[in-house]
Amino acid sequence: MERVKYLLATHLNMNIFGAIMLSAIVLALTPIEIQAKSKLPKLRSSEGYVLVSYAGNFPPVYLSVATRSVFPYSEDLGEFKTNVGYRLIVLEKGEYKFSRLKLTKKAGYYYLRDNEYDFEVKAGQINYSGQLNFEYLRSNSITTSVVNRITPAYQWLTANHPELASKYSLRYTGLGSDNFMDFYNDEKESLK
Amino acid sequence: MNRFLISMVFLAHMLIATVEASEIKDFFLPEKVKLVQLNPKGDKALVKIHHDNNYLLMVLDLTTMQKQIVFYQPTKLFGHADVVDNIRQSVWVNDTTLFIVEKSPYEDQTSQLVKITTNADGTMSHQLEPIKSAYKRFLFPSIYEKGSAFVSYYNRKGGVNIERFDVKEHEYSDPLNDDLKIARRWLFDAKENLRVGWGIVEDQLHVWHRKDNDDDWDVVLKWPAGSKDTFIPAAIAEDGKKILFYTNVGRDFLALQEFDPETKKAGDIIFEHNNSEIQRVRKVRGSEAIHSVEYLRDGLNQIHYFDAKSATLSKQVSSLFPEQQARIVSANKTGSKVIVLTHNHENRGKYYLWDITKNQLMLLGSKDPKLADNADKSEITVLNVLGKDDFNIQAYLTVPKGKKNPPLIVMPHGGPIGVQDNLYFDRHSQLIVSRGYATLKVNYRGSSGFGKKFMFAGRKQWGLNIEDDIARVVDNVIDKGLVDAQRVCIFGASYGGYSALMSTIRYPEKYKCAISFAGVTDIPLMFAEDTRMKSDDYKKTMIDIVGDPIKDAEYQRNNSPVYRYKDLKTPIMLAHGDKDPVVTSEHSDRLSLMLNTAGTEHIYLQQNGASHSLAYTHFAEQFYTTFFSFLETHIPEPEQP
Repeated sequence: MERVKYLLATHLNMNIFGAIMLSAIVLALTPIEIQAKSKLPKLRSSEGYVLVSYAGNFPPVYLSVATRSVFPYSEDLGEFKTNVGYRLIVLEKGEYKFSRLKLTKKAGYYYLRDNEYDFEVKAGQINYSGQLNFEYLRSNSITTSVVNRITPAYQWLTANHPELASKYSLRYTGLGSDNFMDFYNDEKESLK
Repeated sequence: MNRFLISMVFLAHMLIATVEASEIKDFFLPEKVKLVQLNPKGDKALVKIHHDNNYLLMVLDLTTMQKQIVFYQPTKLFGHADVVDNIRQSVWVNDTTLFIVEKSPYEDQTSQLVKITTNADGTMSHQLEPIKSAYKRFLFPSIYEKGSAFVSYYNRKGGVNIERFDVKEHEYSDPLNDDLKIARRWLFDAKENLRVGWGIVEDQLHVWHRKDNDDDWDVVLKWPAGSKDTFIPAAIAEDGKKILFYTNVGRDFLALQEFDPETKKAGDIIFEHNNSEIQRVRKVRGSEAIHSVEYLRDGLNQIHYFDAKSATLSKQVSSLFPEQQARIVSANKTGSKVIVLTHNHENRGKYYLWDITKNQLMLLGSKDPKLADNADKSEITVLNVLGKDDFNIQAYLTVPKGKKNPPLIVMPHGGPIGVQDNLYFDRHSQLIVSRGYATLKVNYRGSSGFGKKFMFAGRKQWGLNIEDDIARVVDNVIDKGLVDAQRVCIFGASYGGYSALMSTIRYPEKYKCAISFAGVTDIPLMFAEDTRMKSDDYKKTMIDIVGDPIKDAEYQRNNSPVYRYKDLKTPIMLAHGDKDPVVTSEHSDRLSLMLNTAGTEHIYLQQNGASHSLAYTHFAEQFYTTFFSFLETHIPEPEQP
């Protein structure tokens, strides 16, 4: 309910129909953060895991992903304790992007507008969106980029969530096409 | 040399170190002396010197040899940097005034004027005068309007504005190009009027021209950007009307050609050199006459002088330093005193003051005093080898002096397109040679400097003809008995790292080991690697170089070490910085993962914080310590009988 309030507050210029639609989407898109070694939640048929990877010179106090739609649904990933790390969430299948970033409590939101922050969530797999890099400069500006670092992401996943890693395929779903993990898994099988 | 009186002046900050076996870090120290420049009168020299992780500016009075530090604003080191150079530009505006553009680590830019006064007792004092200059770059002092200079900066339209700066009043004029904001590069005529501008508009190079300051700008040429043919303005021609262009239209090598803006037609070739690329043209200051043309030949820049006096002077300079490349980098107004910079494959650079009137030569400083006395320990040879497709492949072999049958480290350069190796000082090669190995640098197809046909022949030849060119030269060196055929390894960075890995797949019997620093291992990944791929221009360039990720998928996978990991049987060392923005460390991560899966032993040095080069001493030491240990394991010194 807290999130519904937030969404309505941030879309005041939206018509009533849009607000009702959004409320419905919100109910369907409840992100679940998976702590290391915790019990795995089961995916519904329309959901996929998302391995969010980030690296910067400050732990973000706010990072959100949003759906790519006319009335975007924005999801707050919460506060982060480290400047480099991973977070595993569950999202409804669809097209998303990293949308907003905030590195200090006093700073304003930084909007990630370019298409480089786009990624797709496919159902029934672990979607890797690329590592979001950010650097807060002393000139009070932020530089950001996304880099495909799926190999260290895979290594983190197998070390921290071996059951999940063995049950679901990790696939890159960011900008461009990359099938390396499928190749790796096939080769690993063939070498057994 | 003996006809000149030679005196050696070692400035306090430029002491030559005692000669000992150089350590790895000695090859990666920041330049000790970065710049020496005479004032117009020739009685003072501005010297930029490395000091305590920063650079300072010192003025040397050439009459009294008094020294005065005129600018030193040290800032703290950040990240892994060894040095902060916050002096972006420093130029004499007149005999007693310097224009300094300072850049802080926080991207702010400020400029200052430094006024130097010579006191009654011969000492110097100075005064700093900050001036407003955000993001303005000094171009050159006006010789027609005393006390003024030209500056440039990017405007909001993406072009470059030019303004005149009044040194006395600290005031800037309105932009001189107010009616043409989109040009990014400019040509002045001899009277310092803006006459030609050019920039890219909608994928086309546009060249604008005007007859004089009151005239409107006229588009005289449009040329497709990214074309295989080059057509770029170089200078105003000697008649003051035509434009000189660097061009390879209808020819293989860049030449200097006239273009008539009235008729919009190309005219006479002003200069060309057989099988050599023109690098740049220089004009005589204050005149439309061409001073010289520089071109590249056998790994060195050669200069053709149009002016007989300059040609004679150049010959005199060369005769002073027979084993070196020597060129005049600064001169006083009358030309009676000059600063000569010398360098060769062992010498990173030494600055001399040559007082021509007095026949006096004075060493002012060395870029690399720690290595300065390391000279005369290696020999470099230019090789020309006939490759496939009748291409001449030029390569440079450096061997430790006096060492017979040395082991060989083949060092393919990065790129691969439009980059070249040369005969100039290369710290990596010199370090490796100082440890008893020979190095071989090959200008394989795709390299620049050998004509457009040769350069474009490197496209889509990753893992194929490029590596064949390299192997052909290695065979040539072995056939001549110049190196130990049983002790050959291959090492490169970026494309060179890729080439090292693919060469061992293509020629496993030839190379005993391979070292890849920041190497590409997965060609398809280059299309899904990072932010760069959102740029259509970047994507198009990449498709030109390595093919289309869909249409050429098979070629790309067949020539990617990651997908050929089973064929990598040669001992391998990988190294990669996790802050590499050019070839991300994902490339080496992947190959290491595949090699681990296959149980193939290898070394993977992950350098946290390192970027796409070994520029910082800390990373270079870390890398080369592992590198030499790896070489000693795989191509050890044979046991003495």
